Amino acid sequence: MSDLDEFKATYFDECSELLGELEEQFAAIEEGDRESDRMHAVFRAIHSIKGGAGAFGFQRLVEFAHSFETLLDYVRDGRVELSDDVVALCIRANDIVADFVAAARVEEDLGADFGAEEKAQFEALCNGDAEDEDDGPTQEDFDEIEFTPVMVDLEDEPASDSFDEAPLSDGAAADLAEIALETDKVDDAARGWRVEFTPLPALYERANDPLLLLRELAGLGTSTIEARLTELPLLHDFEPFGVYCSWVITLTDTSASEADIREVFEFVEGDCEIAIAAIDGSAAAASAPVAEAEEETSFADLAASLNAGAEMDEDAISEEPVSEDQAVEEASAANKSDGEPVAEDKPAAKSQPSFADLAGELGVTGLDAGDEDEDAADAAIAKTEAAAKPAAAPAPAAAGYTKPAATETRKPAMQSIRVDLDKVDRVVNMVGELVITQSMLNQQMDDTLRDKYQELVRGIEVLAQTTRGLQDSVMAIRAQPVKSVFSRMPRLVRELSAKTGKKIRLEMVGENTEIDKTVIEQLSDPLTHMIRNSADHGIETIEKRTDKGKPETGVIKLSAEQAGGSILIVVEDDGAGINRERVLEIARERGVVPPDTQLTEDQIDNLIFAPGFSTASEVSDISGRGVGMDVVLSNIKKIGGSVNVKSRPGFGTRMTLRLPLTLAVLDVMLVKVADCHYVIPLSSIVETIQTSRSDFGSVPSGSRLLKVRGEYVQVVDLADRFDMNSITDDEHRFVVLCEAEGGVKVALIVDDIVGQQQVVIKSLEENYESIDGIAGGTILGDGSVALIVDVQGIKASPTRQNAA
Amino acid sequence: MRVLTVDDSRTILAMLKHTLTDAGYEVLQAENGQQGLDMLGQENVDVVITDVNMPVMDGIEFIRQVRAGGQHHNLPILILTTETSQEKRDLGRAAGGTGWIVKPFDPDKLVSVIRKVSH
Repeated sequence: MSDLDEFKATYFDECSELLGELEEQFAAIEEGDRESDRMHAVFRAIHSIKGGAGAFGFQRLVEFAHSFETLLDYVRDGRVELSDDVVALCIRANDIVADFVAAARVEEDLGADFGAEEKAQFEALCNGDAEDEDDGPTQEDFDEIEFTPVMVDLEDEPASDSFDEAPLSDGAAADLAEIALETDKVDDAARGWRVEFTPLPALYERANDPLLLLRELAGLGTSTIEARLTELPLLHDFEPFGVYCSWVITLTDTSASEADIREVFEFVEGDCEIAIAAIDGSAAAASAPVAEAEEETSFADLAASLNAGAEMDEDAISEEPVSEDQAVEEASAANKSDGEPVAEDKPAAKSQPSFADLAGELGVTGLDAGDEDEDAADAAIAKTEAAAKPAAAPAPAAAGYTKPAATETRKPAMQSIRVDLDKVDRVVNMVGELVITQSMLNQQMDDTLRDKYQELVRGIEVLAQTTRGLQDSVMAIRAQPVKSVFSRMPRLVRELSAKTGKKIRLEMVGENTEIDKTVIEQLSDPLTHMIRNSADHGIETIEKRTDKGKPETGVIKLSAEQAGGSILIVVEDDGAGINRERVLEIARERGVVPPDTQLTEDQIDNLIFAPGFSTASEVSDISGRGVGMDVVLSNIKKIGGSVNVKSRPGFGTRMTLRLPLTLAVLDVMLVKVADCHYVIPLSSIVETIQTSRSDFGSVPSGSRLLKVRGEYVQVVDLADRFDMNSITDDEHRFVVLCEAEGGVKVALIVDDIVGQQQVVIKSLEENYESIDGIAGGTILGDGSVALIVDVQGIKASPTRQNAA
Repeated sequence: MRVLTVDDSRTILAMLKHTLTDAGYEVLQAENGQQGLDMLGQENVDVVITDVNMPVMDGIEFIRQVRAGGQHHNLPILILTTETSQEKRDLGRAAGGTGWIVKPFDPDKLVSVIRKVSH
């Protein structure tokens, strides 16, 4: 994956989250919650979506989001009233943003008209107040949005001592090359600029640094920088926060335009006075000697006066840029002969008596790029900076160029971290293996060992406990609130409501219930189908509802809760309920159910999940062609869950999804059939009975039935089912009574029950091939493989027999 | 050189980190102004780049508080904004922002702007 793709993936991930949040906010706003925080959150989310879209050049999305954002901004500060119409428009716009995002993801073009109407409405709404509207993103703004990561060689860092090597201006290296070329081409070498630069206090308050500006300016050509300290007061008038220093920069040998120079001062516009004047060749040349002349005296004095007790500022020295001039040579020589390091200090902090005098003399500072003079030149700039700097320092004595080290500890900055799912899964897998090893140790612990090595046994018990805790913790990492799926449903209901002309309200409960991430990902399709089904077949038209004395608006309730080791997700509507006669009739017509079979009400209700079944008389645009509900069943089965439907004619339908908390580890009963190990998911086992105590009966067709508490249950002998010869005497076998989805029970006959344990599920499809009646495989503690019985698939239900 | 990037968008944070890491900077990340403040209290930072629109604490307030804290009066803070209008930029500057970067940012430009305001 390229970097760009990776960023895009991050972006779309983020968009999904933001869109989910938007749904939530709009749902509340629609309910009448006009809290201003909500509008701010909505604004921010749209703004973020726009921001990222700009970076990837999703122009249409940017344009739409921008108009939308403008409207939201107007609503936010009250220029546009948040009427019901505006809320409806915003919700529609939100859907359109979602569509644009989806289209951008698959690089699809939605057509020029898409969203145009809403966009026009935004503009119309905002137009009443359009004077101070910004001009929106122009083509120009996005011309360079393509994101190409740059490599910047560390060698090129401005930390290097020579200015010439350091690319400083925008466009860095390329520009430098251009400058070089242009200077050769155009005989413009003599042309130059004189820049008077007088910082105001605000410049320092915003942490702008004249030194950096001078450095950047110097990079544009050959420069002479003259510090003007004529404003510097006598010491007793000296204000620590006063600004007394200004500079005159003479730039020669440059191809820079006035605009280039202005750009250097881009960030400090308004925070300083700048006068830029073009100078011709002779003026430029003349300026240098002047500087030189003044320099001779001042620099030497400066160095001499300052060296006492002063500290070298390392930051300033090491990264100090140097520009070219001959002026400093004399000063440098004087400095060196002193044998003292050039030093500087914060004047206000030290309050040296000589400072006022010194400052008076400190007229001109010239800079030189010559190697020998670097230190002197560095110090010169540092010096001029030092004179000006105190202005920015609220605490003069402590003020320095080095950042104060933060030693105090505060509360941790991050309450959460983002981790790659891969990494979590690796941990989950390892914990799974650990669980197996632990159960293997347990298995090998026979009674002799137990008596002999009590310490070891205790250790293994602690290990078991810790492993269990570790497993729970790891699973908690993978768990996510179902909110991420639930939040997609309001839009669906809105659309369904619009398409069917029915009035439907969606209520959601328990969005914060957490389930394994993989389960959540698999949940979206089934939920969509179930809600479609409720809206299409469940909720009646407005007329029908009024006739029956029901409220006009139908309600679909979506809820999630944890119940023991499972999560229950319920979709409930207050519609007409399942029309059992019609369902049965269709099922018979299509051969889903044999003509003479008698089915209970529950069984009839659950027929809607049978493959190829649909009750809609006409194929509906919404629920499709009867491929909906069986998808629900197969998807849910895939993640180890079950579906059940209960209906009360005239009052509504309730569909319940029962999902495992986690997919990785399964609590099972280990059984033996013809000397082979099988495992049966504990969640589906109702009870176990010895065959000798069981009350078997049979029907004329020959299949056996088990009578449990007055109820006849179909019997499946696993040995027969899997074509194996049971060596165990019928009297000593066991019946494992299981309950499949929909409350249908089946009695499995096994040779022996070994015990209860946890196993890590391994997919048969991935490792071998899919087998009817087997849900997967697992590796037991002793390394042998056991197959997981598919309770749902193994029972030969009437529908299955017929289909076969 | 350590750059603290403050933005509620993971995409933007990732892109900033990529560009800045390539340019040789060490990158710290915060998702809003409050986290940014906390981080400044714990870490040494040479430059800050902050978004304007963020939950919990927006960029303007963040800058204001950094400056008000007194310790970081010399810390360059760049405002990252998609606003093409001057408005947000001026607010940020009024709060004590050193300079600004307009999103979508050009990587070269980003690096050069950081150099423009830092040693």
